[in-house]
Amino acid sequence: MKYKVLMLYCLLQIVSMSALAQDHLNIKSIFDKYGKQEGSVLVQLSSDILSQGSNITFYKSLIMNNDVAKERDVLNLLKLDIDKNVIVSEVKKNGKVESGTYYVGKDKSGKTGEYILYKNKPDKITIVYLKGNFPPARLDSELKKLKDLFIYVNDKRLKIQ
Amino acid sequence: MKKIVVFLAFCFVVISANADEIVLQDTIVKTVQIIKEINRNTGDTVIVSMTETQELIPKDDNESSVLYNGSTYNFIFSWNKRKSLSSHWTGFGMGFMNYSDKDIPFGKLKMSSSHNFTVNLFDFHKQIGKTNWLFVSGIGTEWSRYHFDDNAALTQVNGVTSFVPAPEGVNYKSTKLLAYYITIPLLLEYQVSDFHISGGVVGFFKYYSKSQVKYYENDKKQVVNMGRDLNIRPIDMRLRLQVGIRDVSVYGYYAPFSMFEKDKGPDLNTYTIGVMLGI
Repeated sequence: MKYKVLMLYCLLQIVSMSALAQDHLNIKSIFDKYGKQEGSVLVQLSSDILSQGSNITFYKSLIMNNDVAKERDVLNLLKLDIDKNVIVSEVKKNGKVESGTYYVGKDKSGKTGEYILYKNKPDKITIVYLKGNFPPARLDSELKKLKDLFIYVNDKRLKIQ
Repeated sequence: MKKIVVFLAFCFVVISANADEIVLQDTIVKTVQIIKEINRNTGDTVIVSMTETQELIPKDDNESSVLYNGSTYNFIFSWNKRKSLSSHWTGFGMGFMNYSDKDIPFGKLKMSSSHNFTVNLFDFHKQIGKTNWLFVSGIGTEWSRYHFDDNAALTQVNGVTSFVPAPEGVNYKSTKLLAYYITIPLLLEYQVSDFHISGGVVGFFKYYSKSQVKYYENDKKQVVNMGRDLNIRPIDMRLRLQVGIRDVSVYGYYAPFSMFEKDKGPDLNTYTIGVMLGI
């Protein structure tokens, strides 16, 4: 009987901890790794700004200079995150992902959807991680709303990707 | 059984280790300071130890920030609030109607008493992007009353409608045509500040019409209906232009087609000018 109770306890723990462990997205490490490098622009917006005009609750973007090592790094981590999740849209050229929008499921609250956006241009790589209470079908319209958000740094407008 | 339990416990430990960044907790740092003091009276060194606790609240990872080349920059932000425009179709209006009566025998219009009344209660509009333009449609009603000057009445004779003079000895006190319509517009409206201008076409769907005369015979008032259908087009179209400030506007209609069906009535292109109060 003791064994059964202990087994049940362990099983419950495994299920709950597995669910929590999924919250960690590999791509997040890219922001920490490259966000403070020369040539990088790291923008993080939270709900205090976003809630005034969008249903996006969290937004983090990184624009960095493109090179082969970074590109490989990003794509490897991206592949791990999107392996079993929904590809909303993806553009490939010669087999290489040029841009992609991915729905990576709900966060630990179970209510907020998480998305990753990736864009690879010859000189820049852009990674966006965002969260919001909307389905993937509404992602486009939510991103369009961000065009109405004007962020100025030193009197220059910073365009949201 | 023991092996299974050990295996499950192992899984638990491994997954727990992977589940990092789950909960951020406040960090409490305890600092111990040792201060040496010399007693002036005795000259001995006295060691006084003091313990302080300091609570450090970690920085919120979800704070908004902008980093260029690793340096934090101050920023300001603003949302471009989209101005929601509403159309100026709905409202109450009254106008004067007229038409060119040169080639219409006995069809001179009494403009001062020829009115149209408009009640537009429903509108559907769609703003074009973030511009000041919007498409407007809706539903309205239009009551038109044409009063004529000549001693003649619109009458249908052998399938053709025309102004037929009154019988000899009869003097019409009033001769008029009533035409009631449901209207459906398709307009393009531009707004800037309090000013608006809109134009387009309006479909007119006739649901009632009547020609009526009033006269006195032996001091007794006679009211005679001269016909109902009168070959008035059941579906008509007019061009509309409206200009206004806030909820007051001036509107105009022009009918490019005759009010009557082709070859079944006088060639009568009406135009209207009126004032509209928006709701």
